[in-house]
This record gives sequence, structure tokens and C-alpha cells, in this order.
Amino acid sequence: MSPDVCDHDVCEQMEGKLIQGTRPGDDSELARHIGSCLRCFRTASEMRDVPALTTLLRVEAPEDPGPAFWARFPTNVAHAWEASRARPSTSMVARLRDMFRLQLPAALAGACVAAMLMIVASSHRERTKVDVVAATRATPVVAMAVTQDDRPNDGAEILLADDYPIEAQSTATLMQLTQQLATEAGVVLRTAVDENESSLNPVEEVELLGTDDLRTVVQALRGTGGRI
Amino acid sequence: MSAVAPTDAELVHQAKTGSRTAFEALVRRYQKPLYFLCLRYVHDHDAAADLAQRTFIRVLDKLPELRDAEIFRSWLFRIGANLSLNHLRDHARFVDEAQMVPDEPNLMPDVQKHLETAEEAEALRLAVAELPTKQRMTLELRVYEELPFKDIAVALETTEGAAKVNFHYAVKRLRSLLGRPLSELAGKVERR
Repeated sequence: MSPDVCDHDVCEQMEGKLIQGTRPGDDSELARHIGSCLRCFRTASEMRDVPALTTLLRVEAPEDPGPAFWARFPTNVAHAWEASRARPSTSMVARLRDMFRLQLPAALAGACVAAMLMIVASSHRERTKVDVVAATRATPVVAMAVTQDDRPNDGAEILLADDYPIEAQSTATLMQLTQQLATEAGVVLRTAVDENESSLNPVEEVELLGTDDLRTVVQALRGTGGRI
Repeated sequence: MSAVAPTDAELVHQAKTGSRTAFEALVRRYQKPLYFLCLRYVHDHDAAADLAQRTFIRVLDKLPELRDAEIFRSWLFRIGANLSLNHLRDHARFVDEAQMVPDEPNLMPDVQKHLETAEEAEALRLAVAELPTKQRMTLELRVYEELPFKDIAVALETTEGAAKVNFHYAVKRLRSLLGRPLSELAGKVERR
């Protein structure tokens, strides 16, 4: 009886049978193997204790909570489950999951809106370029104004754009431009700033600038061929 | 002629589609074994009831992820055992030392004999509790739930061969811890 002469695979197979609960008396092949293999003989001896072990462990069954407990138990589980669903999840993973669950569609929607805005802005820009060409043919003043709109981030202010409020600085620029044009055209503006009005701010000055002045400047410019 | 009870797999399929009745049937079918499995770990009725309840809630939440409905029982026991072990780990430092005080030895002979037997059974249970986790779970699923090794392997996420080896090691270790063959202890218990 020596484990060395045994085929390892055969031993594993026989041990598997023994552990499973097969008795050597019920399996002739197993009985033969145990007779010639010390390792499997020991395993068979150890496995003979299993019924005793089962008896001992089951000898004093724990007290049953009673039929009322078992009748109530499924309802308790259902209530506890509903309560657990009502509670907001607080684990980090759950919070991340929830965040992505809500944020991802929102982000996609945001991206769609941004894309639509870019398309609209792009088409608007194309239209503005066409307007610039048309305006250049009409009057230089308007052309300048529109051209200013086409030059972002270079410090120039929008002069006549409808979409923006007239700020103080752009108003001053408008005043200077008007006066420069008037000087070049040799026209004296009706609302030329005199010494008493020198304390006016640019907004007030523009308010004082009448439409007649602008018309006068435009007529003068047309007389000079529209060149500044 | 009695109606054939639906199998676990049938009930699991129905529960997956949202049938509360099917899940309740599964709860009723397994509430006792699950409760006693938890009780063997925690030795406290309230804790065992709470763990069993939590196990079913976990199962209900994870049911859509269970691909093979046939392994429901093993899967349920695995979740119950894991929750119980987590509970033991979390409450390990709160064990009442008063429980460790031995009983008064000056008793009548019959009672003394009864207590000796009970103590031996208790000694065995303590020895089982000392086993490495996988060996203990394998042994308990085999002895109490009478699961085949194939299902134990599923429950413990291992192979059938490894489950058999764990069981074998558990038996050997118990013999070693108790210092004598288990059949001697069992003989005394049966003669009571």
C-alpha cells in the first residue's frame, strides 16, 4: 500500500467519490483502490466521520421563531424593499451612476443646442459678409460700421449695430468720426460742441447731434465722391 | 391530484418580469433555510432575521443580473453567508465577554452528563466557527442545506473539485481540533 505507485488522476477520482459520500462497500473499484493506496485509505477513514459530524451539528437545532414569524416575514421583506427603494442612494458609485444617468442626456442636449447655435451663427456671419459687400457699394460710413462688426477682438467698437447698446466709448468714436468727416467735407455742424457744452459726456453729445448733421455730412461726402 | 409546485427557475423568470407573487413564493420557500444559515453565523434571532431580510432585498435588486435561474438557491445562500460574515466582521469587537464565563460545575450527575454532551456539540460548533471561511461555508452548505458539491461550487464561486477539497480539509481540521474521531462524540450524543 503506497501512494507513490498510484496514478494521481485515479486517486483524485477515488477521493472525489469518497468525499461525495460513496462507500467503499458500494463500489468495488473504490474498495480495490483503497486496499492498495494509503492516501485514499486515509481519506476513506476521515470521510467515515461525516455522518457523525452531521448528526452532531444537527443535534440541537436552533429554536424556530414560530409560524407567526414566518407568516409575517414575506410582508416584512416587501415593506423593507419598498423602503429601500424610497431612500436615495448615498454610495459614491450610486451617486456617480445617478449623475451620469441625468447628466449625460442633458449634456447631449446641450451639445445639440450648441451645434445648432454654431450653425446659425455661421450662416449669420456669411450673410453679414454679403451685407458688407453691398454696403461698401452704398455709403462708406455704413460700410465702415458694418466692417467694424466683422472684426472681432481688435479693439474696434461696433458703431451702428442694432443688437448692441451704444456704449460711451463707441459714442465718442461716433462723435469723432462725424466731426472728422464734417471737417474734411468743410461743413460746420449745427450742434458743434461749444465751450459751454464741453462738460457733456459722449452720450449726451450724441443725443444733441441732430439727424440734420448726419444728413449734411452724408451729402457732403457724396459731393466728394464718397472718399474719406 | 395536487398541482406541481413551480421550480425555482420558473419563479425566478416570473419574478424577473415583475411578478411579486413569484418572488413571494421564493421568499416563502427559502426563508427558513436562509434564516437558519444566518443564525448559525450570528447566533442571534434579531440579527439573523434582519440578515435574512436584507439578503432577500439584495436578491430582488440583483435578480435581473442572475443569468442562470437554475442556480438561484446557491446564489441566495452565497449572498446570505457573505452578508452574515460581513455582519460578524463589523460586530467582532462588540462580543460580550460575559458569554465566555463557564457554567457552574457543581451539578447532579445526569444533568452533568447532559451538559457534557451539549458542551461537546457546542465544542464542535465552535470548532466549525474556527474553520477558514471557505471550508466553513462548504461544510455548512453540505451538512445543513445538503447541497451537492456542484451547487456549493456555484455558491462559493469555485470549482466542484475545489469544493470537495475544502470539505475534505474541513473534516480533517475538525478531527484535529477536537482531538479525537467525530464518531466517538456522535456515539455519546446518540446514547442520550
